[in-house]
Amino acid sequence: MNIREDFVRARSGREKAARRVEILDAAEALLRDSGNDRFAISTVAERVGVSKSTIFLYFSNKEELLLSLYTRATEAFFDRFKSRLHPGITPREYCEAFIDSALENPNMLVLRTMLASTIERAVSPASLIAAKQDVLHFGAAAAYETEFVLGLESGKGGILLKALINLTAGAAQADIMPFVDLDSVPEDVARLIRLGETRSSFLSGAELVLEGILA
Amino acid sequence: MAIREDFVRARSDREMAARQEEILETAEVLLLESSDHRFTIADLASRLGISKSTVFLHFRNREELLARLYMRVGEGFFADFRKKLRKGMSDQAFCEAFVDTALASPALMILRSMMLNTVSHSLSQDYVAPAFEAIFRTRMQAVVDTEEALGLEPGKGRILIKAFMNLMCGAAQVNVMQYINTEDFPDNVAEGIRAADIRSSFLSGAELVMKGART
Repeated sequence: MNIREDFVRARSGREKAARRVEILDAAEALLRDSGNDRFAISTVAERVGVSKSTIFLYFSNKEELLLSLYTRATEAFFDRFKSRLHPGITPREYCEAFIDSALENPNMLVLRTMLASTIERAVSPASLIAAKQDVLHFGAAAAYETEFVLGLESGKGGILLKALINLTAGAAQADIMPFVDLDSVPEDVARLIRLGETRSSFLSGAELVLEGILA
Repeated sequence: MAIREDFVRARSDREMAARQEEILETAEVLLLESSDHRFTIADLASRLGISKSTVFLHFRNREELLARLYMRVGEGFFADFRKKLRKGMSDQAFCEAFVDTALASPALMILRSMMLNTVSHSLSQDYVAPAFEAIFRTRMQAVVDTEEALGLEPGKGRILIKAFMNLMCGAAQVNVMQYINTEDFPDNVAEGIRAADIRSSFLSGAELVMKGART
């Protein structure tokens, strides 16, 4: 393993922050390429070109790294989503903006499946608090925009977003389509599997949620 | 390793089914016991007092066993849920029946979250079809009962049940309260974590879905 002096020697806050971002970029790409089953700190280290112990200078364990990735993916999701909102947006367009932004950030959905059960319970309270505060902050900003573009009364945006993110995560979790060769299963089964496709599964429920919040 | 003759010698279909049932029951216990929901076929065999190869007489691999367990738990969940449905029940009572049945079947949410990451990667084609058919059949019975209990027009029950399942499992992913103590956390973070409690998180979304289904 070659040692990258710039990582071990990073001393200023700015240098350290830049190294951290570099590690997160590599981890994000790795997760996207190979899923969480084969996600390992040693592979992240290899990709960055540093030793495992150097990674641990920046993240005290794998879960700390994954939590930072989750926070980053969530921020990217909300940024993307907010950029698609505009006054006069229809409920259908709003739902599509939501699901398309989520599907463009698959790492958020992958990491969320193990968020409480694996990640959050294994990080320090300080990291957990910081991550929760960040995510609450992103959510609150999106809730505010939502209330504005849909003309909802104050407080309803947060309830709506929470329902939509739970719907998305629940739908993505059960979407078997990427793993099955649809041509090799009976036609009626293929039809059932298609019904479980994340986007359409989400939209059928989200339509009711939007009708409910606007009623 | 002790050999249990009754497992190896099971020859009739009924005997085979009874052995499989016992293996699945034990697998569910192990799943709920382990903190990270991982168990190996070796753990399972030793708990049952049989050899690994005996387990493989009944299930070709761990993935098939998990798929069968998921079917079994799902069938149990829908059977229990249907027992709670009454014609003319309130929307609120309906939502509570769903969430309380789900909370009483913790293995359902755990397994559903595992399907994508573990099972589907190696799901061999010849048990994809029976698994999907079984899950679909059981769910359709609940859909018919739901439409009758709530007086919904045909077709709405299916969308409703699907949305409820997605909401439920999405909410379960972020329920960190069971793992950590928030006593020393800042108020806004502690409150955010409390609001992510599965039951209240589900019910706030389900109320919107119900309202939408009624409009």
